[in-house]
Amino acid sequence: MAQDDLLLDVSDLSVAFKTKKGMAAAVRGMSLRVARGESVAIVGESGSGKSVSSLALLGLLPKSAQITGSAKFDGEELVGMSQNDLRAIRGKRISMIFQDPMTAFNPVFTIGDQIAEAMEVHGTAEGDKALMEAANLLELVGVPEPGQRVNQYPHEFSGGMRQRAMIAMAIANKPDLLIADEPTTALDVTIQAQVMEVLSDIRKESGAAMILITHDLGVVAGSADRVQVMYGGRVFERGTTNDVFYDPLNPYTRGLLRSMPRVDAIGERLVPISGSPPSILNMPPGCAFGPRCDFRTDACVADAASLELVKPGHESRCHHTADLPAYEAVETLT
Amino acid sequence: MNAPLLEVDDLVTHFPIRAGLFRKVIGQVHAVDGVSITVNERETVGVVGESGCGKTTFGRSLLRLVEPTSGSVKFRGEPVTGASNDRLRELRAEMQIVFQDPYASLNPRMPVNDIIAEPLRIQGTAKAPAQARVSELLEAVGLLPEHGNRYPHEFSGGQRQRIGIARALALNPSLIVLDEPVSALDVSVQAQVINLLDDLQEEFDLAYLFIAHDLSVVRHISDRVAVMYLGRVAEIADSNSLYERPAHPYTHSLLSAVPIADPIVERERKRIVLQGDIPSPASPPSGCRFRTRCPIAVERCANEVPVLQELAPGHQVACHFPIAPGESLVDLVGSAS
Amino acid sequence: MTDLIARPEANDDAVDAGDALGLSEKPESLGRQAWDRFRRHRLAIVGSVLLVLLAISFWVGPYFAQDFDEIDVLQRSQGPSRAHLFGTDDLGRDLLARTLRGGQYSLRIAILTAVIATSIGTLFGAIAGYFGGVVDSLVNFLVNVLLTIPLLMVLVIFGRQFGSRPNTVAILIAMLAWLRAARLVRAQVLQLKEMEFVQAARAAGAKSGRIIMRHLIPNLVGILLVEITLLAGTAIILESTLSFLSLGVQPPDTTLGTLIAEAKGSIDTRPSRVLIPGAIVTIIILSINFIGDALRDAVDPKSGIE
Repeated sequence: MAQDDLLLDVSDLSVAFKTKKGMAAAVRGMSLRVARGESVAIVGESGSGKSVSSLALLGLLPKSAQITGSAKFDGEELVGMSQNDLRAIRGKRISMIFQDPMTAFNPVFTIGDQIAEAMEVHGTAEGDKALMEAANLLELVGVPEPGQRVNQYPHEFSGGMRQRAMIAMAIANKPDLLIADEPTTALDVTIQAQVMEVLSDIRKESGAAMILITHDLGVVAGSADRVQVMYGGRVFERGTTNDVFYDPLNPYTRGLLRSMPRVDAIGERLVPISGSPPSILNMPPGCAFGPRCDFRTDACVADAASLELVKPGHESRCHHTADLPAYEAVETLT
Repeated sequence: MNAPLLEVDDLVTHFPIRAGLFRKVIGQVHAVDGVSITVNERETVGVVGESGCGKTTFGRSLLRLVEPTSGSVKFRGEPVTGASNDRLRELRAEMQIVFQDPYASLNPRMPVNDIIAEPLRIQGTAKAPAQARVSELLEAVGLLPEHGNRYPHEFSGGQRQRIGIARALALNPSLIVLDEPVSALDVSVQAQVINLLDDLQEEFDLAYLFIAHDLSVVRHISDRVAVMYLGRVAEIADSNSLYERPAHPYTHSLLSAVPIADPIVERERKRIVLQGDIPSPASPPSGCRFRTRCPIAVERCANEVPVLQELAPGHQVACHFPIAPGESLVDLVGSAS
Repeated sequence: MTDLIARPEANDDAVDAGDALGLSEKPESLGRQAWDRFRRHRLAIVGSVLLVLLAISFWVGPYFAQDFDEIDVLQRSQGPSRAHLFGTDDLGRDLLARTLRGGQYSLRIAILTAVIATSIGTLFGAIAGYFGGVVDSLVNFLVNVLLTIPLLMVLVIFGRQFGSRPNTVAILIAMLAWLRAARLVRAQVLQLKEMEFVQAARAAGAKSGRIIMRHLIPNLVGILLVEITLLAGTAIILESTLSFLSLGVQPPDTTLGTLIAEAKGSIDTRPSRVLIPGAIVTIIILSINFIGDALRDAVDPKSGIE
């Protein structure tokens, strides 16, 4: 990507939490680059650090979190920025869409008021104009009868409608970057399809870049330009969506893709990854995936590999990149 | 073919909505509204649907963990509905259940040995033989017998689900109701549990009723699949027919909404995006329950309840206008994205 | 298992995940873990030590001190001296002996009240929550009606009738203080009985008795312990208030509250007569509350993970 197109440049970001049982490293030296208008998915299981890293960018973590490294947004350093300066960026230039649409709205104000307030805080629109704009936004995200809906309270919205309203609020100030943290995990399949469609239409229209944080590889396949796979607080693989899905380089990515049943495939026996994802309180030495990996050697226990460029635009973190067998996808019907 | 292991006929479970000091009934939630299904020995029947479709209540009604309002459940020809409490207790040894949440389904104050032994102890097994059986079960589900004296919080989600499965196996049942058994687990752990279920089915000649919202998992594990919508069965068929030749518009939309982990397939797919939300089961629509969201609904759908009709042997659909094999709802509607 | 491929994989899982969780060779018992968590609360440890020391002096002390009831008309209203460390009261009774006796009675009333009130509350709350329906409505109605009655007024009226012995006072307070416990337990039981492990026990054929004893009560221990400590604190304060209004334990017997009430006339001349029993009441209540906090944390098996 061209340098002047670079919107977000995160390098060597680490986040650690102080707990009763010592320091827990949730994110360990993560990097991430997002170009303007681009959609990057961060994929990972529980404890991979995928959500923590983006919360850290926006200064939304509790005080017990220790954040180091660098995150430049449009040239401005976010790590260490004062809460005041962050507030000016949050909700204006970077917006967040959360997993749980139930708790994202204040139950005692109308949806319209809350969307309007998001605009007033950043001086985008005022008073009645803001409320009218809120109705327009609701219409844009496919809420029927936006004129009436704008005066309703959160409990009068269904889960899917609330998620749309949250998207409306997120785009109210025309942000350059949307961070969607598991935006459809709490929703039913048919509603999930609606919401993903709205997100994609909105981005087409506004040109906003998106970081999509999810555990669902299916959602990633349909909506990301590039993918970065995280495990144990580190980036394990990164590349274009096609590269990562059709030619995964990392044993973990391969395991993940092979272990998933597909709706368009007949049920052959699945190939699971053994064991469970590690707890952030108790990371194995060396490679975090080591204990579950079929290719583990002493080198993997001794130290973690670094993230290396294997092919143009395609990186992987593994000591054994060179000697891994060629990837065979699970056979499908189609 | 022998008589089916489980025969459910027109099962209805309504929950009264009560209000006021005297708990007056002011309405009914139509959780399950006339479901008929059979499960044969050693067969896996999948039940899929979205939230509010009644699949969980259905599973619990079968075991009478929730008391059904009407209809009948027969196990090996013997009525479960209407069985006395003592007989029900004996029947439950044959029909067990595994729950979704591996955290809520294990008593945090009991060591794993006691958790797995509980069904045995309830049914009168002495302590020593029960313990021997627990060790066997722990091994059968891929855990070590020496882990038995630990408490649930020491285990990961996947391991906890194995413990829940061991408990369900304790009484040597013929049927296990699996209520979303893998949806709370990490992706990389789901496959382990699915494979384990496959193996146990072979080893212990089990029949499964597999309840889930994840269509991919259901396809993988099921011989036959029933699609539920707002308390009713919309379509039921053997797994391949249902996924390859769906006839109900709802099945079509569900299948088209499932994301597939394949970027090219995903980008080129034509997708039916259903409009609107799932109506509340407290006030379901008249006629066909899917009609409010169905892209091909006409007036008849509001007036007349569609009954399950047989399209092909074993393939039943509840729709006035079933979609023919090879036809796609996308083409019928003409809208795609 | 028929499929041999699955075996090593499955066993690996157990071993690996066990390692990942950092399990020791032998699992720790719940009691041991609870003690470890309790120990982390420094203030609770201090509170426990203070409470034990106070209890020992209240029960053992009187054997070494003077008779709390012995009147010495020549030694009325004396300040602290070698013979009377805390001084004497208006009738010339030794205040150290009376403080010990009073502390004993106050603590006894507190513990008795807490145990009785929590038991009644648990019984009603559990019945209402578990059986639901009409039973629940009735218990709820009863609790709501009782809650509208001002506690202190009832105590004043009944205290005059019955309240002269410490046990009666305790029962009186408990009769009115069980309401909150009942509500708490009911809410908890309502939640617990829908938990899947209770459903699993039912699916295995368990009867109500077993479910209540093995699944509900062990999971209520946490809130019950906290409730007992809170109630004990409340009981001491209520008893002191009653005694202050001369409606509690009747003379010549005494409680900490009575001692404070008796000293109110001499608060200007000898503030220590109020301050000493007052400080003891405060120490007891604070200690009990610290212990309650720590217990809640200690008995929750999940709290060790974070």
